[in-house]
Amino acid sequence: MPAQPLTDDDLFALYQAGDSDAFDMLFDRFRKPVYHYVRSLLPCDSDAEEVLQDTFIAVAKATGYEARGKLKSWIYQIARNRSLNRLRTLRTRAAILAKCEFCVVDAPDPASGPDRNSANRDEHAYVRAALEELPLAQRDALVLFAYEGLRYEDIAAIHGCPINTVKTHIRRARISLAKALAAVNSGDSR
Amino acid sequence: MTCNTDDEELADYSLGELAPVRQTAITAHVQACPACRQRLVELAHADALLQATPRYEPGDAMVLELRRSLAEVVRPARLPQVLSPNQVAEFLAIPLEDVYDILPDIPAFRIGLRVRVRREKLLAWVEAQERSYAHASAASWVQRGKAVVA
Repeated sequence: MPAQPLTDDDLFALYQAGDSDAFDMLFDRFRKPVYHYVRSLLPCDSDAEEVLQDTFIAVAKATGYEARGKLKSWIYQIARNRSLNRLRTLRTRAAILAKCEFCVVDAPDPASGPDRNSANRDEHAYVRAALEELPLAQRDALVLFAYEGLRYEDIAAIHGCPINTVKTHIRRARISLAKALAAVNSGDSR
Repeated sequence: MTCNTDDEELADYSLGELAPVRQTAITAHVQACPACRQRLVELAHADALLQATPRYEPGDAMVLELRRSLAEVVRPARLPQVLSPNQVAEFLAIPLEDVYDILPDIPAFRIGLRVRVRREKLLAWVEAQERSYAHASAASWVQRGKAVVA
């Protein structure tokens, strides 16, 4: 009979017991999805890389962690908190630079929307651009739902909010995305 | 024909999340309503495109760098099996001259003129010191307690 693959909780328990290889396996299991998640929340690769590093170092140091839910949700929760902190820092920095008369800041124009001309040729690029246009909470919930396959209750645990709020975010995100992509297909964007 | 079906209800319908009665009613409505059919097609198209859009992936160089950083946390430097007095001093964070005072207690051994300590002996000695310190502290608190009562 083939051996059952170790669950996330099994791997973390082994790590807590001193098996550092188990942590490597957890890292390999989560590094791509967590990177995709944080990169979807943050404006550029370098921010996402920093948050990915902070997240896994926090996980590695939490040897006294006691499970109160799914390990996966806990890891995403750490990644989300660190992403939000990073966004706050970026906003503060942008606000300071904007006030500095000696600095010229190329702040994105919120009214301009995604670069539709270049994205028209590449639907995937346009999906990413349209995702970036969504309010953060909607984008956050939709990525966890559509890409990571998390259930409403898991996302609610990560966000620390009621399940109905998560459902509303996802529903509105899907509608906005559908309208944005339909607009491109019908040529409204030109 | 007037269509009262809102986007949010259609979005839930497309995931099969409405109450069964409402789900059935919308199915019947959609068959007769081209506008709703179109909106459902747009939702399905967006969902499919989202699934098909490649994920962001961390670069190889970044992952390698992160593995190095994590290794420092996950695999802290291990003590060698046999330690010199200098290594004992570094491990215990005490001056070298103090190490020579405690070597007989650990105990150490000689190889020619060189003094060495086995890792297990050192760790066992540290644990014994911890127990002794905890016991002494507890006794001290009992003494203080008695003094207060008296």
